[in-house]
Amino acid sequence: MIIGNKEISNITSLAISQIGASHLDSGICEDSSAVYQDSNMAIACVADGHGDSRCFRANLGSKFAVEIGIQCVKEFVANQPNLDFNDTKEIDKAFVQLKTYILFKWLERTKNHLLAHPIEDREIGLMDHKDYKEYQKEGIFKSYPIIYGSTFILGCVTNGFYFILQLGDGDAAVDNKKFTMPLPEDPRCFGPYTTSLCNDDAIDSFRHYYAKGNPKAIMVSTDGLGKSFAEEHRFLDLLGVIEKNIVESGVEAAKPELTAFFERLTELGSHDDISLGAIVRVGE
Amino acid sequence: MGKYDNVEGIARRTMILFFLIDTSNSMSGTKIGEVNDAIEGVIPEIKEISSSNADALIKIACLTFSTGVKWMYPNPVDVNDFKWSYVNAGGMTEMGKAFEVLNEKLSRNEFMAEVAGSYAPAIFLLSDGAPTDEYKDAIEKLKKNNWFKYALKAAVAIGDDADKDMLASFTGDDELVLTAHSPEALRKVIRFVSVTASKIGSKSSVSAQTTNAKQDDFAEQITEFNSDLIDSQNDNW
Repeated sequence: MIIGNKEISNITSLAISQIGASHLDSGICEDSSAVYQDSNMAIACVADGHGDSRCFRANLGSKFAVEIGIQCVKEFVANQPNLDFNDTKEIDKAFVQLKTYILFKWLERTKNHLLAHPIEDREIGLMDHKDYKEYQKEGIFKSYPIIYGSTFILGCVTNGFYFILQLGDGDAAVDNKKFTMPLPEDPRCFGPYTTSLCNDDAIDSFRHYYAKGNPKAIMVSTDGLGKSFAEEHRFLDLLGVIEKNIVESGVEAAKPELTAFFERLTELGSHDDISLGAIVRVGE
Repeated sequence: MGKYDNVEGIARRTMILFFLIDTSNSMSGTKIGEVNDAIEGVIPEIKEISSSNADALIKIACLTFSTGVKWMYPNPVDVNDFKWSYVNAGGMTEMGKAFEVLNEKLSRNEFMAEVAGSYAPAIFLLSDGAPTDEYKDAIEKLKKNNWFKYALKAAVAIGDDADKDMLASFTGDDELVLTAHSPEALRKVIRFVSVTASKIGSKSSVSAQTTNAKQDDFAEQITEFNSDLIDSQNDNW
């Protein structure tokens, strides 16, 4: 079994980010989402920029995370055609390299952005005093990634192989006859707290899962979706409804309906931004 | 009919604000009267925070302790539906028992059952005395509870007879113990702590390696408020 050298077919994908009810005043959606599809792979990625006041460029942090995630995974799949799936040590090593690369690229991108777009007057009050003093002196500061703080969740399907990457809160679900969430929980994602791309030890919290097979769907979502439900099974039920809708109506028809639903859901549920990235098998 | 009209189980994230109130005999008279008035008075502000600003719906749980303990309501109540019932004072100060039942309720099988969406709670302890029962084991067990560890905690010592060391052991920081020397100060403390805890507790945050940003932010605001309070107080119980 090898990754990525066979064509996939009958796959469709969709990405939606809906501003949260609690962000309507600011008008800034801190989530980002995107999908990518070619003849060998489908990728869905979402990221949730933190609402924490210290993360005042989090909307950009999530945008960078999604763009970098998709680019890195495209390269990963394209460059690993001979990876032996039965050699789990080799596979795990490749995933650690991939995660490290994504983190490196995100840190590089955020640093370059800060250097090109200096701290503005309106942002100074949101910074830690010590950080600001360091920034004034050096033009950068050690904990700069926090201002772009974001989570990261990505799902990828190739022919006969799929995987999920996740850092921070949110959900990644796979439909193999029914939706389940195969990644282990991160104990540091507790209540309102989440791990983040901006943490010094981010690599320790960066989880991955892979398996052989052709799932019916993979859905990745920011916590604004899952936390709109009091019970996990209700959330998984919704993913089933979304999948059915995409299969029956197609992405073009499903997207506006889903967007309208998310607009209502954030008001009734989490009040948070909601993002969904879906890869759905539409037939054989 | 829309595709998503039948979706069930939608709910907002919740943050529970706990009041733990000493209703022992020494609280009789002005002290318990002020506690009643102050909590009843702050509820509309918390409603406003819950409906307009917060990432989470705020619920309120209230535990009174004297000779025995009592939850005002069997489950936390949405602040929009919360009605304060005046509490009376009398009896001993069984604070150890209060810590024990609080620990039981800080569980996913109890008050924190909304697994998908429970924020760490805010816990506010009000007392004018010292425990009359064994409390050390109970407080140690409580400190091992994850919900308690992540909670925003503050205590108010009502007058100089309160056991401030014990209250500091509860909050984990003596700067989170405020002393109210007068009815006016008590009212201010209850309002400030309740509002600040509701605002900070109901917002999301980044996990740090060694510190808890929300607890730090809360401690900073409480410390600043306390220094102003100390400057303005005369002993007047």
